[in-house]
Amino acid sequence: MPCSVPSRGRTSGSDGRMAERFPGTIIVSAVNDPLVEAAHLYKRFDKLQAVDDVSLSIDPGETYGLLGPNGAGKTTAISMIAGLLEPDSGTVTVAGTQIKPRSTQGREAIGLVPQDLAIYPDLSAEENLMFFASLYGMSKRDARARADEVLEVIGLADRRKERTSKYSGGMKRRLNIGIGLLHSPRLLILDEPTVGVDPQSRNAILESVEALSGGGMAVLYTTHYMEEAERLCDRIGIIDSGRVVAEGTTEQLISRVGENDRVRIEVTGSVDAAIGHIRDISGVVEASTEDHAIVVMADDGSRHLPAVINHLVDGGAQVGSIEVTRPDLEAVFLHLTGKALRE
Amino acid sequence: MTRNGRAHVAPKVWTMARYNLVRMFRERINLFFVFIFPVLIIAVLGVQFGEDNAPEVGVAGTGEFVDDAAERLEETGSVEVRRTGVSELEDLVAEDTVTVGVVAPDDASQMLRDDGGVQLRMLLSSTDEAAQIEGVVTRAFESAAVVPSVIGQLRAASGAESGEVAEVVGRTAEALPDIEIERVLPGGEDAEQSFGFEQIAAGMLLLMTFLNTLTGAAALIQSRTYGVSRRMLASPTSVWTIVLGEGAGRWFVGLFQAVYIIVVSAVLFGVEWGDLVSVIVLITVFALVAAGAAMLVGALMHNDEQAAGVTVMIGLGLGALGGTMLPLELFSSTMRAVAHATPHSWALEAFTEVGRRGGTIVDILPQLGVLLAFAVVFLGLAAWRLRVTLTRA
Ligand SMILES: Nc1ncnc2c1ncn2[C@@H]1O[C@H](COP(=O)(O)OP(=O)(O)OP(=O)(O)O)[C@@H](O)[C@H]1O
Ligand SMILES: [Mg+2]
Repeated sequence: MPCSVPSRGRTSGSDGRMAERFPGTIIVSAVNDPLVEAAHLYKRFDKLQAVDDVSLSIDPGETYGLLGPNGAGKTTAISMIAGLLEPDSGTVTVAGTQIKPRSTQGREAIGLVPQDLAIYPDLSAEENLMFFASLYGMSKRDARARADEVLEVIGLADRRKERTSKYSGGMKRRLNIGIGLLHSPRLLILDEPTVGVDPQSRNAILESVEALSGGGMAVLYTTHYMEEAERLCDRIGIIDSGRVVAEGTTEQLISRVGENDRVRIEVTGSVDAAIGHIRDISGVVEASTEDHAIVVMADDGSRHLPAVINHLVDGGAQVGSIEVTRPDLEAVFLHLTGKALRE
Repeated sequence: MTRNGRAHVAPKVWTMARYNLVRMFRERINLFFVFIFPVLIIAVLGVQFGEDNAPEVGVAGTGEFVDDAAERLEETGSVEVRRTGVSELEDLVAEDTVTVGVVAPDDASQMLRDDGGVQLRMLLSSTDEAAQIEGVVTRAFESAAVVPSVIGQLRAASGAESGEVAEVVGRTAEALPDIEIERVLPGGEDAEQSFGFEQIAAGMLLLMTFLNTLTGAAALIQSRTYGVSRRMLASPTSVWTIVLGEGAGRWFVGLFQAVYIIVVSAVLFGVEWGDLVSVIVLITVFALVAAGAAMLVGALMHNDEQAAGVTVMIGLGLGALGGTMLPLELFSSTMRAVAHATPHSWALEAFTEVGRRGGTIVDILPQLGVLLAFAVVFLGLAAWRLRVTLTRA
């Protein structure tokens, strides 16, 4: 699981992984260089500073998530990284090549999946793939072979000959992703690929992204769904109003914010006697009552659960349903920006 | 552009052109425009010029004199003669099918010889042409009457034998000098040819090729609104390659139609386009100019329906200004100068050079150069504009 990758200083993390994958190889320093390096990107539209000093780096095989609400600047940042938008200042390097809008250099390293569909509705999935394969300089034979593979991955092999205008929204999205994968880029950029997709297609998309990053592809993934970021991403940058306000693994981000688990236990009978004892448990930050329930905030909710229940039962209360809520990126985001991730 | 990128330009342009055409023909109506429409144009040209639509003159009556007059009428080339009976002729003139009718007595030849005169009845239709034709018809019958009436007069005066007189007069008539008249317009142009089929056909061809190729603008706008153009730009493909690729499909179509019209009209109606190689090179370059204009419009406009209207206006406007509808000879000198701002006028000039003066490709190099410059400027502006549009958001 990508998400279980431990916290990582950039170099040590990739060193470790490289050594694991290729035991006995001498690691040349170039191998350790990040695949993507974006440094101090700025972009202003009239009065709006859409991207305000964004820097990020992504290692080969790493999945980096940009998590932020609508209008945070995700697409703008990504467009600069993909070479579609000239930054006001700052530089982007992908696979050792500086990416500039006026040059085609380094583009073959990047696969872009734009937020809005970018496919021909009057061509079939296969034709769309063959079309873009040629633009990436693939030979007919390579293109055909890769198109077959990609059609399998995105689950459209049996509808390949149909015009995409006849596809469902989810199928179109999958093709939109497939075109980004076609030339086996070293960096795959996915801009909110699951928006407007039913849960089943969405899951298929997430699974293919997991499989691809497992295959060594670096992925830059933007979303405003925190579950997706948590599930897919090795590292997450939280972006708001054009700035990356925090960056790290899910665990790092949560611990950085210092939020606690919330344990809610439904009870009948008196809890007055128990509540004092519960507050005395070390690690419990706070305990309070709601109607027919007690709410305990603790650093590790499940560990303290047996003790809490014991006190309640000793105090003569009967315990009903129990709910442990861990802090999530939503809470982190709220904490950092004072805003909800999804309005 | 990388060396690698440059090496891939041709296959990329070809791919874009190919899929552009695939997409174009999935729209069934475009089959009509590409394959049927040129046939219609040829048919229109054919009706207008291939078939003689000169006014008809009906002639009722028989005999040597009437035959001779009818033949003289035919030889003027400005009318067609229909031989018919009197009552039928009256009907035909009454319904304006026949512009002018002439009724001659059956013994007209005899009367001319005997009395030196004959009475003809002329029936005029209500068409405007009747008055113009009247003179032509009168002259034809007057000249036909000369020989028989001179024979009649001479025989009466000399008392000589009729066969002998006829022979002398016939020989004298043949010995008379032929007078040929060549009409000339100011500027030394040949009046017969300046409104000729070739020029009108060339004008129509240019007008149509330009208009049809301009529809490529809408295709580019579609690619843009589908987000595909931007995605192309994210690939290792330069904006120049995109402009060339998007334009190439319609360029082929325009070229195909033009060559088709040239060949078919030459074969069916004997239109003389001149040296085929020169003409095809000319059309190729001209269609490239049109494709460049299409890309420029496609890069400038935001909505394909709006673009469709604009392209028709531009196509017709430049066509009219460039002399594809009215010959440039009829333009004032100022307007002729203005016309040279259009690619059409240069192409027309080249067509005239090749078609009428028997020029070859060397003779039209200046015009080809100007046209190529038009194409490069249009394509360059389109590439610049497309980059701005695609990399702004
Ligand atoms: N071409 C443009 N001209 C003017 N403003 C723009 C332009 N593109 C983006 N913006 C503005 O920049 C800000 C950032 O937009 P961006 O599309 O990067 O956000 P986002 O994080 O991708 O949002 P979403 O989740 O809705 O896709 C927004 O306020 C947007 O209105
Ligand atoms: Mg966006």
